Amino acid sequence: MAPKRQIKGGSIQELVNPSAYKSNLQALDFLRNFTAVIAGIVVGICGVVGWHGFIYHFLSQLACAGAMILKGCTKPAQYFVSWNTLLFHSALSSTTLLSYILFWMIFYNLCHVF
Amino acid sequence: MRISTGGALTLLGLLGLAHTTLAVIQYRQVLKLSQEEFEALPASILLELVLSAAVAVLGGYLLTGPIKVAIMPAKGRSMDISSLRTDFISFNMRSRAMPLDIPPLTS
Repeated sequence: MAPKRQIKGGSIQELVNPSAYKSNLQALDFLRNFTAVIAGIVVGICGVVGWHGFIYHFLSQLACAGAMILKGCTKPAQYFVSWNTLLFHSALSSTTLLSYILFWMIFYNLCHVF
Repeated sequence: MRISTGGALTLLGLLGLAHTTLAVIQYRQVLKLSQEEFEALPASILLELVLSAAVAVLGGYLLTGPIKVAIMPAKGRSMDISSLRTDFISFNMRSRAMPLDIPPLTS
């Protein structure tokens, strides 16, 4: 696939470098999954129980967007093409959510049940 | 084998979290022996938890690596895409082994 042209409303806007875009998304994926695991561990050790435990997961996922901005993504349109991608890509995916639940469960059981 | 800074910090943070888990288990055992109810974790364990989590997250942040500009400028395109000829990538398939002199199915 050649570098994609973005066409908005009939006029060509700008070219996207597919390898750089893919590499950015992979970096965001990794950070989101890693943060989900660490957040699950922390929440499990603290002994949080109940539906409000998911709030910490969504907060940690939002913090990943902040981490990307710290990495140098001052203009998300240039690195992730849109704000939605930066905020929500793989934030609500099953991998991150289920990893969070898994580690939350494991560490809660280790510390507070067994 | 060289470990990067991010890798070392992640490892340290995860070890710290494991140590915190052991500390919480021991604390709960002490509470059970003295027949007290578990209310909240002591401040030392909470501090250790926060520090280990911070170190682990920092390690993960460093492990993620740099991000690149995805929008290409009109001038001065970088070298890494100049050899990207994805339109010319070919795939091999077993259709070459198929004999050409067999009669077609529909005729």
